[in-house]
Amino acid sequence: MSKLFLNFFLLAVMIFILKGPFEWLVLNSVWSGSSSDCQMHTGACLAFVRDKMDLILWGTFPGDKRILLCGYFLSFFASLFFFFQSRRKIEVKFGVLLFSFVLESFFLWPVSISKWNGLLLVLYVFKGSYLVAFPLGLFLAVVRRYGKGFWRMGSIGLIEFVRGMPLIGLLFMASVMLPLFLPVGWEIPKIIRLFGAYILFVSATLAEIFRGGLEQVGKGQMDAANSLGLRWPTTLMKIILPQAVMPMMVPCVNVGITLFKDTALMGIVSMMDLTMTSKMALKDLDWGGYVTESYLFITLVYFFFCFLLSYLGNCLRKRAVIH
Amino acid sequence: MVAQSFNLHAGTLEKVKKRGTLICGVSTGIFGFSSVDSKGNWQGLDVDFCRAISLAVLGSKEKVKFVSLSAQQRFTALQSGEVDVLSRNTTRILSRDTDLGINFGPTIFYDGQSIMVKKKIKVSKVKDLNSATICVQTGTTSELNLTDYFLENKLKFRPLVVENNEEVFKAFLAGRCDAITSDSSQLAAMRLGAPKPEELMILEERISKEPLSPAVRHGDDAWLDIVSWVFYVLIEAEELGINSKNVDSFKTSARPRVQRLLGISKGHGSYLKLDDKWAYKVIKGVGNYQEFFDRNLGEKTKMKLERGVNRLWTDGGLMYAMPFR
Amino acid sequence: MPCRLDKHLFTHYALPFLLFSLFSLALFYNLFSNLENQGLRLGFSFLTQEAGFEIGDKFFFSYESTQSYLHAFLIGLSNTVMSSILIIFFSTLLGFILGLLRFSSLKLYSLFASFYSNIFRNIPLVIQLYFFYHILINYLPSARESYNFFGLDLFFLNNRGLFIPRFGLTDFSFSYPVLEGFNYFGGSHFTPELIVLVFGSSLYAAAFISEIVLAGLKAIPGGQLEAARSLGMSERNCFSKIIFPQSVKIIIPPLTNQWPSIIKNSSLAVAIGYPDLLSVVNTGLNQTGKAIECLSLIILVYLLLSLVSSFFLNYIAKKFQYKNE
Repeated sequence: MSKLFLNFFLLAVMIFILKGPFEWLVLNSVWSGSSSDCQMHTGACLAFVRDKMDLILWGTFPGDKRILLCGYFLSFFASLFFFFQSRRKIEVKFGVLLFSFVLESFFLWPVSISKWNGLLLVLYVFKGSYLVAFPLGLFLAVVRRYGKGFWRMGSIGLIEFVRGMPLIGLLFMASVMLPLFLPVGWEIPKIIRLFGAYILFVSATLAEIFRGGLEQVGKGQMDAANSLGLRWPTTLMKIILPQAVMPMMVPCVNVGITLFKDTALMGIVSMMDLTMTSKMALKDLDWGGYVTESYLFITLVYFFFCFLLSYLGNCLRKRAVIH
Repeated sequence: MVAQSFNLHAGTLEKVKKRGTLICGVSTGIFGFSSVDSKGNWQGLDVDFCRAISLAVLGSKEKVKFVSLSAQQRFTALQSGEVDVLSRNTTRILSRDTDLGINFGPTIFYDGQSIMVKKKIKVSKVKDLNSATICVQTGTTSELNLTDYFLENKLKFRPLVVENNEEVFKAFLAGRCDAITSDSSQLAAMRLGAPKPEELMILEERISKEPLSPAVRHGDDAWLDIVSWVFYVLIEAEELGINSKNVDSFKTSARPRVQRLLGISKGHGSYLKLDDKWAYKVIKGVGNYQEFFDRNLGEKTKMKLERGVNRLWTDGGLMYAMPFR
Repeated sequence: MPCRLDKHLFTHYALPFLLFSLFSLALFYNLFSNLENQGLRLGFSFLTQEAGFEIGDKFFFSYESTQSYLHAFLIGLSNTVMSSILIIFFSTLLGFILGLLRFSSLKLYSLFASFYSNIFRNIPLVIQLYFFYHILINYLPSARESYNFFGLDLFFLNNRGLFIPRFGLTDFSFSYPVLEGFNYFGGSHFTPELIVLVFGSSLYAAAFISEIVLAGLKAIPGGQLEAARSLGMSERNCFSKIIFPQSVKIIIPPLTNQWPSIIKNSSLAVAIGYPDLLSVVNTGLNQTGKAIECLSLIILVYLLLSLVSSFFLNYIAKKFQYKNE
C-alpha cells in the first residue's frame, strides 16, 4: 500500500514539474512560420531552430560545398561503427580510424579551416585529438610503468601536471601563452594549439587508465616471456599490451565521452563551436533572442552523440563480459 | 627550433608583401566598427581602415584576412604575430602603450564611456545609480573607469563582470543588472541590437576619455609609419575635399598639396617604401574619413552618431593630419 | 657491476636530462627572444599594484578595488574554494539519494533515477551552466518584486540572487537584507552566478556519484542480506545495519576521487561570470597583459591544490582499504 502511495507521489511530483515545460515545448510551440508567428504563441519557437539549424550546425561553412559534408559524415559514422562493432584486432580498428580521419580531412580540404564551424569543428577536434592521444597515453603509461630513472620521472611529472590542471586552464595557456614560447616568427594556427591542449589532457587521463591495466598484468608474464627468449619490444607488443589494453576499453570509451563533452569549452576561447554558432544565430535581429530554444537544440545534439557513444560502449562491455 | 629563431626581424611590411595578404585583428562583432553582415562580409570603421592599409601596401582592398579577437586575446594575438595590425576599438592608455610591447597609431575615433539603462527604472544621471548592479565586459578600460568614477563620487555599486560582450548585454536585458557600461559608440550599437531599442536609454554623461586607436607591434617603426600615414591620408583627403568619387578629377589639379598626396609629383611613396600612387589608391578604394564615418556610423546608418569631436580640426574637431611633405 | 651502472647512468639519467634541458633551453630562449623583440619585461611586481576592478562575490575576506592584484587573486582563490566545498557537499548528498533510489525496489523510482543520471551525464556541463543561468536570470523576478519567503522579510530570491540573514558567530551580530535603491544590502548574498555554478555542477556530479553509490551497494554479496533476514532483522535494519555500512567503505575511495575533478570543473565559472580564481586571474591578465606571469600563477595554484588533494585522497584510500579486509 505504501509502495503504491510512493509511486503516486513521484508521479504527482513529475507531473507538477514537467507540466510547464511540456506545455511550452509541445502544446504551445510553433513549428513553422516567422518571428511574428512565434510572438503570437506562448510556447517554444521551434521555427527559429528550424530556420537557423544550418547556421547553428555548420556556422560559416560555405553553402555550395555542403556536399562535402556527406562524404565526411559517411566516413565518420562508418569508422565509428566499425570501431565498436567489428571483432578485429585493436590495431586494425585504430588503423581504420586513422585512415578515415585522413580521408575526412581530405574531404574538407577545399574549405578553409577557419570555416569548419559548429558540429564539424566539434567532431573533427574530438576524433583527431582522441586518435593522437590514445597511442600517446599508452606510451606515457608504459614509460611510467617500465621506464627507468629520469624517463619514468618525466612521464610521471607530465601526467600529474596535466591532470592537475583544469582543461579550461590548458586551453587558455594554448591560446594565450604558447605563442610566446615558439621561435620568433613562427605562427601556429590557434586550432592546432588547442588540438595540442586537448591531446595532452586526454593522453594524461588515458595514461592513468592504462597504468591500471598494466598493473594488472602479472609479473610472471614478463618473466615467462623472458625465459622464452623474447625480445623486450616483442614482449611488450605481443604479451603485455594486449592484456593491459583490452580490459580497459570501456573506461577508454568513457574518456572519449568526456572528451566529446569537453569540446564545448572551445567556445570560451572564441572558437566557432556549437555554443558560438548558436550565439551567431541569436544575433539575427529579425528573430530576436530565442535563447532557450537554441540551447535546447545544441543540448540535444550533444546528448545524441554522447548517448550514442555510451550506447556503443555498453555494447562493447557486454561483449567483453560474454567472452 | 633554436635554429629557426635566427630567421627573424623581417619587418611586417616585407612579411605582408611576401604573404600577399594583410592579417587584421578586429572585434568579435561591434556594429559600426567591425561586424559581419548577413552575407558574411566584414563591415565597419575598423574594417575599412584595414582595407585602406591593404590598398596602400598591396594595392587591393580584398587582400585582407580578418581575424576576430575577444578583448582578452587582442594583445597576445598582436604580440605573437598572429595579426599584423590590431584595428579593434582599443583605447590608447599609458600602460598598454608601454608595458604590452605594442605601439599605437593615431586615434581614429574619439569616444567616451557612457552608461545605458532601461527607461523604466527612471534614472537620468549617473548619480542616481547608487547601489545599482552594473554589467561590464572584462579586460576593457571600461571596467577600471567605472570603478574610478564610482569611487570618486562616493557611490557604491555591484559589478557583474563577463568575458563576452554579448553575454554582458544579455545579462543586462534580462535584468541581472540595472545598467551596462561601455564606450558610447558600442552602447549605441548594442541598443540597436536589442529587441526593443526604444526602451533603452544612454545617459548623457561621459565618464572617461576613450581614444580608439589601431596598434602594431613595438619596434617595427616602418610599419607604424605606414599605419599612421594611411590614416593621415584619410583626413588630408577630407580636408582637401577629395573623395572616392571625385578623386580622378583632382589628378590634373595644380595645387602642390594635392599633387603630393595623389602621387602626381614623384617621390613621396619612397619614404614609406610604397609606390607613389599609394594614397590615390586608398582614396579611390575606400574614400576619405567623411565617407568612412557616413558609411558606418553617420546619419544614414542605423547608428546615427554625430561627428562631434571627430570633426576636422577646421570645423572645431580633433581630427588633424600631419602635413604631407 | 660499476660498468653496467655507467651504461644505465647515460641511458636512464644523462640522456633524458640532456634532452629535457635542451628542450627547456629552446623554450626559454624562444621566450626571452620573443619578449625582447616585443619590448616586454617579465616580473611579478604588478602583483602589488592597485587592481582597480571590483569583484562581485566575496567570502571570508573583504576586498576593495584599491587593493592589490595579489589580494584580488586571493579573493578569487577563496571563491574557488567556497564554490568547490558547496558543490562537493550538495553533489554527494544528491548522489547518495539518487544512488539509493536506483537501488530501491520501487521500479518507478529506480527508473526515474537512472533516467536522470543518463540525461545529465551526457550533456556537457558548460552547456548546462549556460542554460540554467539563462533560465535563472530571465525567469526570476527583479529585485523590487522578489520572492519573499514565508512573508518574513528575511529571505529573498530575485534575479540578483538569494539574500538571507547572517549571524556573526564571533561577535553575535545579526544582519538581514534590506532593499536600498536597486539592491538588497546586509545579510548574506549568493549571486545567481554562484547559485548556478553550485546547482548545475552538483546536478552534473551527482549523476556520476549515483553510479558509484549504486555500484557500491550492488557489491555487497546477496548472502549478507539472506543471513540478516534469517536472523530476523527487519528490512530497514538489514539495510541500515548490514548493507549500507559495508558499502560505504567501498563507495568512499572512488567518491573522493571525484573531488579533484569537481574542483577543476568549478573553473567553468569563467563561462558564466562567477569570479573564481581562473576568472579573476584572467581579468588581471586582460588588464596587465602579463600572460606568462598570470598563467604561471594559475599553474602553481592548481598544482598545489591537486597535490594537497592527492595526499588527502591517498590517506583516505589507505584507511578504508585496510578496514575493508
